[in-house]
Amino acid sequence: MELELFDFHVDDIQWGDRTSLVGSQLSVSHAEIQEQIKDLTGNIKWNAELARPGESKRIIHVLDTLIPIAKLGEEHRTFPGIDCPARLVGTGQTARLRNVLVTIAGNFPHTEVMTPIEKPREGLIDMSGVGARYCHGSDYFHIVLTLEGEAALSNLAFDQALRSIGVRVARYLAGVQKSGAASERKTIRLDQVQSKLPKVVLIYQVQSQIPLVRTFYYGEEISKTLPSFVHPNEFIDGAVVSGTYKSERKIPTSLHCANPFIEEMLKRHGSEINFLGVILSRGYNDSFEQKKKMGLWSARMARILGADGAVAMMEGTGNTTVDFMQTVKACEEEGIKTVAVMHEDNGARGYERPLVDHPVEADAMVSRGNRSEKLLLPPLDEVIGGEEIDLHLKAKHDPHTPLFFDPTIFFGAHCQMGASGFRAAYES
Amino acid sequence: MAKVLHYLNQFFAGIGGEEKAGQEFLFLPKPAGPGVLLHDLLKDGQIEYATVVCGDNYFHEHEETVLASLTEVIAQFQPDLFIAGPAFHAGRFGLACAKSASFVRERFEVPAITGLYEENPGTREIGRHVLVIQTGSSAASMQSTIKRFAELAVLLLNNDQESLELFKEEFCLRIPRRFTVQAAAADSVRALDMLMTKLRGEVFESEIPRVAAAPHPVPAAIQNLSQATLAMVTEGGLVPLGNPDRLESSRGTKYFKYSIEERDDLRPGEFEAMHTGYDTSTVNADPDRLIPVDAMRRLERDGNFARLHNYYYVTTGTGAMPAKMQELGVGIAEELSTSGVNGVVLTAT
Repeated sequence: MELELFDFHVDDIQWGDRTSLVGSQLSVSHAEIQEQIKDLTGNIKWNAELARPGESKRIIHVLDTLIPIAKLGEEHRTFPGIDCPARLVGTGQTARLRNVLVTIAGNFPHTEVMTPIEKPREGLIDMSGVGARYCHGSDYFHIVLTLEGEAALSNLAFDQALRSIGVRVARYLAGVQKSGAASERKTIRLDQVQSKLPKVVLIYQVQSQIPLVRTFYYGEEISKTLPSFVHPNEFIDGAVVSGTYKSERKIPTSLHCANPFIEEMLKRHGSEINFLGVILSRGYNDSFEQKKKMGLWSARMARILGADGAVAMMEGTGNTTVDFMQTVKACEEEGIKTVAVMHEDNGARGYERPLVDHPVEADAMVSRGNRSEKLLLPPLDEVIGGEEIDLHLKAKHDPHTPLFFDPTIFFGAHCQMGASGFRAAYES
Repeated sequence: MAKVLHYLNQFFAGIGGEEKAGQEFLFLPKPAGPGVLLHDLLKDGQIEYATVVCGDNYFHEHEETVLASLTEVIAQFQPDLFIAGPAFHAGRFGLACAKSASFVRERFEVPAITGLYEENPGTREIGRHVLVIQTGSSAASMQSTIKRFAELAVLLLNNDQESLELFKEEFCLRIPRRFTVQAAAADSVRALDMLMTKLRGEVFESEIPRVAAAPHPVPAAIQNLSQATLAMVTEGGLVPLGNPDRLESSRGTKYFKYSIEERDDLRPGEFEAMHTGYDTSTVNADPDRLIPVDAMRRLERDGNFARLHNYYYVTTGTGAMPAKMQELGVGIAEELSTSGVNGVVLTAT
């Protein structure tokens, strides 16, 4: 199974009469975007803005980010099962705008009828300043689509529409006409490698509970399922799509598609490790018994695949840590050496117990830093996506004034704190 | 000319003892109490010195007001250095020193120092970059402590990083706490590196220590249940519809009690759950499934226990800080035990 990936890097992004990539300049036509999504936006007011790395801009109410990917010259589509029938992906040719994001921001039409678990959490992307290293996306060029659903639209219809809009624009941008644009061509496959390299899997636990708090695999909500074996190429082609709005703790769709863990394991495949693939599992199972079983099944799948070792990472926080730790425990019991990656919640003053659950088997942990340590965040010149920052349902904040808050206010904070090389450590 | 702002309580400022613990926040454009000696020691540096004073009780009863007043003083006086205390082993003053120094350091990035005895509860409230000079337990060591304050103040005002590190090493209190630091590589790289080491059977170091939770011994059974008064407590966030007291839906910091007197069950539409950690629709459809008034009344009528307490207690457990939950738990337990409650049905979500 082989995927030919063409990565394009852009140097700038601007509005233009036609959407095109000339050299490394991306022009985006507002009218053409409108044409792409007009049948989806009957009850949605929207506007589009651009943001670039280093600009003094703060994007608020971010719901998801998508990396532009499109299949070349075939009927298959990226993001299978979302706004199109599902077909298997991970083969053929894919074009990708490696440092561009389609960023969906905005508000649901009826937050007042949402139960607390359904309510989106605030997610900021700071394009510069202190916050830039805490949020996913500050080193990307953004086309920000701010959506406001009208009253006639239900929350669930808005949820579906915003996903379809994001996916369509992401496919459209990657498929755009290119002239003089150089791409980096990569052939991605899991070749047979010499037998003495250790066989390693990535265990990839997502959050998927109820509508508005879920993750899709080929357009299907991952619910009370068994873990699934997924080829890294399928992730690259958008087989896994985010539908949760727990901003700081979510894995944005762009990071499902271009995941640093998958990339690192592909990089080491054949030289240091024999990367077997990804085990996609689900956290937040309802009972301890279910949490334990998700761990047992994931470990058993890794064992059947022949894994000697595993890297485990998870989306979310709180009780899903138990599902995650049961997985680590089960892997170790099956003889699979495991390293697990997690954020810590040491409290604003740093003295709280780092993890809510930490069995002895989890003896090789990688930290993503203390997510509850407060930061002083001066305002940035421009605010995109709304008028007020929502301090996680507790208060409203004027985005033009300094904000004193912890990293949970940032979009994709757990992932980005890890990618930025943050960890927690004792300091005296 | 460098400016120093010094925080003191009513006692050290010379206003009075316990009877003056309600002293309101006060700005004095001069040194007071131990500040007089400190100012003398700093005199070569041409220091403009001011003092803020607040009663020990006033600070804790009106913390927001005090910090707002402190904000105004900071804006007007613009200090280059904030000094609080020393508080030695004085608990309320130590907490006020820790909180005010942390506030000034974190919100205004003004260097802040205080002095505490190692067992002062204020050590739990020290912000990451506040420097805490280790003191003795009583004000008997005032003279030597103030000399240390002066040494540190000079190092901070001169931004003498090298000597500062040595000073911290020798004289500052070590409070082991975990904060975010920069590692050499991204998590994905470190995870793979650690895995390779682990697979080779070599020694590796986990980045997150395993800190065991404090054990919770099972309490003794109630000897005579038929004579007992029972109460219900939950972290599941059940509140009267509309959430009149604004219980947080995550990372709770408060608890409330609500009456169930003369209720045989909790009807949908009168109560709702504020909780981001579980799907609350089932509880909203029948609140008895979280606070089982219906079942408890039946057991009460059948004489299984004597009486159901008139109130249930509630907080929100999701994403909560264990230390805060412990504090809330103690509060709830104290209220219940003074109300004659013998046992609790504790429902978690």
